[in-house]
Amino acid sequence: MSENLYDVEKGKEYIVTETPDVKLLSSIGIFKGVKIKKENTYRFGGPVSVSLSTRKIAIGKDIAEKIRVKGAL
Amino acid sequence: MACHEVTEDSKIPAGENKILLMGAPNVGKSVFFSAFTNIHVVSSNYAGTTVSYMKGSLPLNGVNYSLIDVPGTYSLTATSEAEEVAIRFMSSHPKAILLILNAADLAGSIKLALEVLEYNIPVVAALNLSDVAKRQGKSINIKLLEKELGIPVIPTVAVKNQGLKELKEKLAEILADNGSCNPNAAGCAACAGCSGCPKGTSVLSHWERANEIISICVKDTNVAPSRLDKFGDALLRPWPGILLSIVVILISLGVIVGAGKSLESLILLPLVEEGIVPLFEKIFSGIAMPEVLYNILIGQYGVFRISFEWILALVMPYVILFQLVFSFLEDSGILPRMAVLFDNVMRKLGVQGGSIINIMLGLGCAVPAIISTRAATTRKERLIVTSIVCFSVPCISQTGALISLLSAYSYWMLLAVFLTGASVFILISIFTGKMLKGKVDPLVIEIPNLLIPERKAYFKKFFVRVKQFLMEAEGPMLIAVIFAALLAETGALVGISNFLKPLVSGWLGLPQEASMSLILGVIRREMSVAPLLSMNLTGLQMYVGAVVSLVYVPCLSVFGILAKEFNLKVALSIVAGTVFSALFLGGILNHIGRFLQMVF
Repeated sequence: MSENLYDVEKGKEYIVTETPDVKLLSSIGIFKGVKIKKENTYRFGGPVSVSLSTRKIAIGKDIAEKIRVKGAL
Repeated sequence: MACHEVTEDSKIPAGENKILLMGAPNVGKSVFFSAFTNIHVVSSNYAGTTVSYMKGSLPLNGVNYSLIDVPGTYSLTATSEAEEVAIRFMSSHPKAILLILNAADLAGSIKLALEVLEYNIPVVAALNLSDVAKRQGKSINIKLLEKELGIPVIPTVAVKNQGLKELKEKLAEILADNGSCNPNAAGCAACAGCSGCPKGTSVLSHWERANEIISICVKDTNVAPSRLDKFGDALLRPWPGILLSIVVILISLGVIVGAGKSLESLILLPLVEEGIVPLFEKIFSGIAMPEVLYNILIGQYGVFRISFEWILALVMPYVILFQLVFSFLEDSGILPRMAVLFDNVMRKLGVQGGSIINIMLGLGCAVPAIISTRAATTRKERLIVTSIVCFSVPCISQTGALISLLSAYSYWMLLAVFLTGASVFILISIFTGKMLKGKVDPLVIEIPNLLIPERKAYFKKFFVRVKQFLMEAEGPMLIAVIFAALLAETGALVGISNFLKPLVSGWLGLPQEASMSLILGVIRREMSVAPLLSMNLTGLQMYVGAVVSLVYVPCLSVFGILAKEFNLKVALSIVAGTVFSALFLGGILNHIGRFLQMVF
């Protein structure tokens, strides 16, 4: 079952299952199949921060809501 | 045999001996560039400091190569203007590529390296920030990495000048090998077998391969995160990040205002008023000259009086302190964290958190702030941020002058003007957001590791910035001062003031001579504040004068950069908009103030 990245619980690892068509996402490291850890959700319309294998990035709410993830095993 | 269709490109310099300096944003390319070419490019700890490319000469093996600092890219897939520029450079027959890898973000770096290698150009890689990787407990086996990538890799800490000599030697070596195809490069071997060129290789397979290489070359010793990394993480969490950011901002302000004010009133003003000015008075009174000329030189608005009073005593201390504080913030990696923490607020204002960095640059000077908006992904975002900077963000020279003017009355007055400026900020961003067509892309930002700025690099940057200020601002400031002296001491000001009286005195409630502010303010921002200093204004007049000069025309240099970066129409609209809103707002505030004074 996939959920959107904005709403999933923080502090856990996820696999990305679907990304919106934002080119910068794939070049910065968010694409289908990649494992990420959600670090923080910023309230009141703020972004989410996630860590990839060696990099930390923040993604605005409007994009994060369109990123689908499923829990990593 | 080349792997790529090469098309000639008019926008890319055609020079023969190009070496490209490439890497992800914020990996320190500019530091390498400065070290190799002696041209100083300002670098900072956030993505996108170099928004256009720089070129410098680099002699190697007796041949003069030109080293090109290509804007930072996460990939070569043309997702932004910077990446398009990078791809065009790759296709312009460079002799070699100096690729900077980020040891602290090896996966991303290797992925970029794999893309670069497909172009079949000789590559030397620097493994930069190797100190940060070590701090995080990563031990990278360079030999294995070289083998996996098929290119030489030199570990470096560029800001400390470590490994740069070896890197240069290696670069000379592969250039001496000559031959468009380096037999050592895996790219070449791979190329012979590639069927449809890199387009066919998916992004995912590059990431997979990068992670595979990492599993071979990197050993993760589990060290406890350093205090700096812990602090970096804390700064990024909403709690206590927001509180810490506010503390950082308040301390910065405190240092700039407090130390600036002390420098000004304890050292510089006494020096000017009791030392320099009397000296010139003595010199000039010893020379026979017409009274008008004497007044122009050293009268109340004389060139030799106000150039020292205004520029040396009122502006310089704040400029210097601002650069000291801001360079530290830039190099530390605090700014991108603030961009993340305050994205929600900025989003409600119609922009995104990253714009905070542009706006903070504007607190120094609007010109670099406007240039930095090139990194914005849409024109709408560029225009909104530019408008915010032009209408509501005072540059540090003007802030210095405002502090001198208002703090003499009361620090509360300073706060009142600040809050008024903040309201203009909010209004203008909402207004331009509604007016302009198009959209603003949400935030996507890499968060760099927190660093303690390296002392040498930090001071070099500080000196470059102050030197730049002196070179660029001194001329216009002196012109403004001479203009002021001529206007005031020849009597021309009286005529103009009479003409502007209904506006300046009637509508704004300021003394007639304040028309000087409106005239000089066109040339430089702080010059619209400086004349008010000697006018014995009432509290209300000070407030109105400060607000008018804050919103008023953002100086000639800004006009120039607006016309260059956008077009004449945008430049003229912003000037017209600022003049109108400054006078409109000033008048309204004046009348409200008077009304309140009458009632209470």
